[in-house]
Amino acid sequence: MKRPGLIIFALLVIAFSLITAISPHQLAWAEQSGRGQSLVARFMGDSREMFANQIFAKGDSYMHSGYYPTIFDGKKLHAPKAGESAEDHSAHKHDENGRCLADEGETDFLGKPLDWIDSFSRHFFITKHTHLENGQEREMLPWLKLAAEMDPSQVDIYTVAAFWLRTTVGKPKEAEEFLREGLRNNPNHPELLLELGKVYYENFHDVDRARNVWELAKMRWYKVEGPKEDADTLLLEQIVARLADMEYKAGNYQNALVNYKLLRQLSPVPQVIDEHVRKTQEMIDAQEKK
Amino acid sequence: MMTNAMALAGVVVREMYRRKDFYVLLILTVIITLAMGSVNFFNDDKIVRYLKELCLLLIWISTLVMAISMAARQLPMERESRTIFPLLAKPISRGEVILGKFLGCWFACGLALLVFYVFFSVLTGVREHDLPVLSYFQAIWLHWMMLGIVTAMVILGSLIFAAPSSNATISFVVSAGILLLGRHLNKVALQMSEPSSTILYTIYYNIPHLEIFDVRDLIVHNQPPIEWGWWALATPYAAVYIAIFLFAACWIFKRKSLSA
Amino acid sequence: MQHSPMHDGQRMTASEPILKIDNLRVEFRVAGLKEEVKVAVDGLSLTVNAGEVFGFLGPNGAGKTTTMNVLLGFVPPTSGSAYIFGTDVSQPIARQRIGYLPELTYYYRFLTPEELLRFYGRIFRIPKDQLEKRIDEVIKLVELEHARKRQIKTFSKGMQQRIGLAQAVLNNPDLLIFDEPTSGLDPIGRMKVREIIQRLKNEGKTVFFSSHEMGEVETVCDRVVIINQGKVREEGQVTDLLAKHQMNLEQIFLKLIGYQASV
Ligand SMILES: Nc1ncnc2c1ncn2[C@@H]1O[C@H](COP(=O)(O)OP(=O)(O)OP(=O)(O)O)[C@@H](O)[C@H]1O
Ligand SMILES: [Mg+2]
Repeated sequence: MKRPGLIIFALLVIAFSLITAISPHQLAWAEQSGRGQSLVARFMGDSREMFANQIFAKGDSYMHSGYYPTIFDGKKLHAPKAGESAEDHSAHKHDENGRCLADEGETDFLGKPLDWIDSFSRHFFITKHTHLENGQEREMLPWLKLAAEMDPSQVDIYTVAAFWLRTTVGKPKEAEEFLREGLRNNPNHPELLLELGKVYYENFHDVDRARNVWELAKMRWYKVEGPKEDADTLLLEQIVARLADMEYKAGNYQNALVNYKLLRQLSPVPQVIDEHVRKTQEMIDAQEKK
Repeated sequence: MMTNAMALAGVVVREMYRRKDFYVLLILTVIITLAMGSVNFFNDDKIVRYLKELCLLLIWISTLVMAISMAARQLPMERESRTIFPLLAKPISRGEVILGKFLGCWFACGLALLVFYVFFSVLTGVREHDLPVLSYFQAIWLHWMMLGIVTAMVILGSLIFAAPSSNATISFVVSAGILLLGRHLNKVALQMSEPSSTILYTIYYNIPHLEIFDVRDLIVHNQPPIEWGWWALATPYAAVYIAIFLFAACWIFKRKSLSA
Repeated sequence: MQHSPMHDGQRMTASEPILKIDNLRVEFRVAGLKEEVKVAVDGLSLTVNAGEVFGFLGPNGAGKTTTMNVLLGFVPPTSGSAYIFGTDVSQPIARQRIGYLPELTYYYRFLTPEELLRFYGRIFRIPKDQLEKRIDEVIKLVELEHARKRQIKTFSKGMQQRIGLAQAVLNNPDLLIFDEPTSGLDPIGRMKVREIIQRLKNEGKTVFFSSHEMGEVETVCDRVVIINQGKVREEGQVTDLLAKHQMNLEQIFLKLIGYQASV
């Protein structure tokens, strides 16, 4: 083999293998594909999205320390799961830990060894399910960053990355920056605004900015999601719940009341919210007495 | 027998370090890794696993390319430059020639592996402040055994296929295919209908399962070392395939007429 | 494995032939539309005695290299047999005490002459201290001292040929088989080869070499055989042939292979 040929060959192989090394992971968001446009644009869009999904899945496999099923294991991945993070109260479809096969029953995707080669080889790859913890979650961030570069329209990438950045990794500023990047690519996306508000409120304790962002998120939700048939009411529910709790804690009981009342209409368990409404009303009454 | 084979192996190893291929691959690996390592992800310099994964991937590709291209050209080069004639005119048997070529390629791969993994260890040592020597030792050893199987397979291929380039290409595709899919063939076969299912099972049970020797994930995700008993078993597993390929190569080579 | 040099009850003595070819026939299958059989060597018989310098002559494509390939075990004979030191050439042990110079060989490009000879020396099991001395000797013999530490890929054709010569005599063999030893050499180089052959003869070695250079054959050979199209056309002492045909060897050669001057 001639030397330049060898180099080109090596480069091709590297490119090829980078793809194939990631590709056995199952595609996640097939349902999200294509938003009209020309055939070419759509094709390009799809392949970018596929790439991004692969890389996102790679990040997810890091989350599980490499214990991850492949397409051959025949288990559906990314089944939206109730979150594990304690700080979220509502059932949360887009929970940060959500794209996760991690519910206990599903961890054993490997099953029993089918034959001796299978059982022998299991000593040589990861067969224990562990999670990154204590800030090690940072290890999945490069893949999320890369996935976002690939397909900036997938807002989940930004929100997942921001969650880890502002919590265990302890980099709220970077979380804000990344969410702003997401907002540049998806102007005023309510999901991103929701997450950004969390950074302001929980990490920076900046109630005013959090309120601005969440109010904007609410407004945008009505504008963008509201008219849709399959509107993501869960998202609105979260935004409103956040707003209500924050206002309550800040002592703006009037604002809190408005939002709790809205939340009661949205919530699948209005009885729970009634309690909040009652308490808020009490506070308002007490204030008025003074 | 060993003296002759080792003498010939020495020539192959010399060739490896005097050719530039190895250095090109090494430098390429180092440059790409360092370039990726210098990328700033969220101002966090503790992030390291993606870099380990990338570096190991490059090492695997480089050594595979090196082992295959080196083994594929050995016997064809001997015939093309006609050095096979003065060589076989000496008291050396054709079996010793095959063995010597194999050992040479294999040792050369071992040397290259050491250099590559030294770089990898320095990289992870600096970034992670941790050097799991036992895990790395296990990984290098298994990697080397895997390259032994591939080398023996390619040497056999060089006696079957006419052109070294077609041999190298086919070997590369086969090796990469086994590494990526070998582990899953049984599951695929399970879902197939009859004739193809049996064929696939036959393939599954007969191919050398190179992917067993690929423990990159364990290294990337800081898993504990493999149980030593199981780890040790991988060596005879590799030896069986190496022996099969080399015996087949000897058998063919001994029957080959070597004019022109 | 046959350990004694005896064969068919023949005992090796000084007068026994060192090299014996008996009714040798080599066919090649030439792949084509219909498979043809090409007869490269056709019923060739000859003997070379100890201490002789034997010229193996013939035009291009006569079957010289093919015959040597059989002697060295590279090509199996279709029929007939060949013996070196009384041992059938199919046995590797037959090659223990021979030195072989192949035609047109490009030695390992990444080695230096020293390293190449050290490698071959190890295969011959020459002890280390003797080997270094021997390498110095043969490099001096072929006049490559100036290039002994240079990689062979930088060598000219003639220099390659000299390395070939050096490796052929490295183990101090009793029988030397040279395939066109002077090809690619300049006049001084040729002279040198003739001197080397002469010296080997004086040391009591046997030399079997092929050539188309009649001049050099005439000066160094004791006996010659001339073959054409795989068959022996003439065989005998050089002096006898010259006397018999009353012309020089070149003219005899041309006449035997049926060449008519066109001018
Ligand atoms: N591998 C082969 N396949 C087919 N034919 C062959 C093969 N090797 C040699 N021959 C044929 O056998 C004949 C003898 O070839 P050989 O090489 O022995 O000639 P030679 O006497 O050495 O010639 P030269 O002086 O050119 O070296 C030629 O006709 C050649 O074409
Ligand atoms: Mg010839």
